[in-house]
Amino acid sequence: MLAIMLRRPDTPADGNSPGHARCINNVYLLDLFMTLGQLAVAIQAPPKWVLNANAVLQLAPAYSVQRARVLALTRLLEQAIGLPLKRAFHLAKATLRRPAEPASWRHESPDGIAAVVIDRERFLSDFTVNLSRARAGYCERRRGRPPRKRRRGVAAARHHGVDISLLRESLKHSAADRLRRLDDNAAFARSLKVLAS
Amino acid sequence: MSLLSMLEGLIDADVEFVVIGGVAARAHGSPRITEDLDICYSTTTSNLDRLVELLLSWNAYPRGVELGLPFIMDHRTLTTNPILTLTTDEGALDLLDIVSGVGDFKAVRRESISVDGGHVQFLALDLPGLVKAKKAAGRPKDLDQLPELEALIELRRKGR
Repeated sequence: MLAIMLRRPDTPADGNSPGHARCINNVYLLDLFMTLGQLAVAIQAPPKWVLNANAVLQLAPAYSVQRARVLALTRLLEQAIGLPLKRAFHLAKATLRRPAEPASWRHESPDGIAAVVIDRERFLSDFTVNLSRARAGYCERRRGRPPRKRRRGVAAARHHGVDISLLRESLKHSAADRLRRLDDNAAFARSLKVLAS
Repeated sequence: MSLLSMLEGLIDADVEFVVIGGVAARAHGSPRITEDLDICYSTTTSNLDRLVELLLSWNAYPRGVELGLPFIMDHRTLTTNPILTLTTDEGALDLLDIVSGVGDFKAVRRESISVDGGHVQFLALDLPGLVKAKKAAGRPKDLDQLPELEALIELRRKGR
């Protein structure tokens, strides 16, 4: 995720804020951009769909949280009610430009015969969940053919750089002991993070 | 705030779950440190009720996003999102209803073993199951752990 240095972001933490700001050593970083893979996770679509949508909608391949939010709603409208991509994109953009209230968006045909209702809270809640997955859980997959394995088990682990004596030492303890130590280690790691921030 | 207290909370709330990921690996002998608890949960209505109630009491919120964004913690959020990465008052918690490479909760439970964690007794995905899950996830950090897990299988089989 690309980080941009800012003096101080005064963006409200609502559904329309442009990105995720955090402070390290008094420098505010705004995680505004994401990779194609992260954006695909955030909008629950395969990366191929994003690339095709970019081509059809003539969008530059710049992946931001705002772009993700619009494309997530576009995909929802395309998949759920079968709107053509371009129409879905324009409707999504118009919808997200509207003020945060009321809780749901309603688009009606001029004669009032047909209407589309979007549950704003639910859409933005699901988007927050997927954005969290994209930021906290996503890793780029390793490209290319996986290396051919010539060794297995302990030999492979040793070749990979694993300290087998650590594994043997760990196995001497009970599961309860290992978990208690893990808790202590995790608490120590958390305290270091608090100190660093 | 600790991994063990999170496990205790889940058990006390009668949530049906299986521990997967780093904590399960640690229980089986991995020396790696992890800060989050990954669980696969049963999607029965009563279990979702208990899980939602517990997560609400722990102020669960998506991890890694700015505070104050819209977020509804309810049944629908659990059923429509196969993976939730949360931060709670008790620590980081990842919830999955399906584990890739293994399957849904029933399949995960079939491949799990009971772990005696001292104060807590819980089900954890066994080592071959963890290997399958890591292979299916395919992320560099998962693949990096594979040799260690496969070595643990061999060491355990040979009695170290």
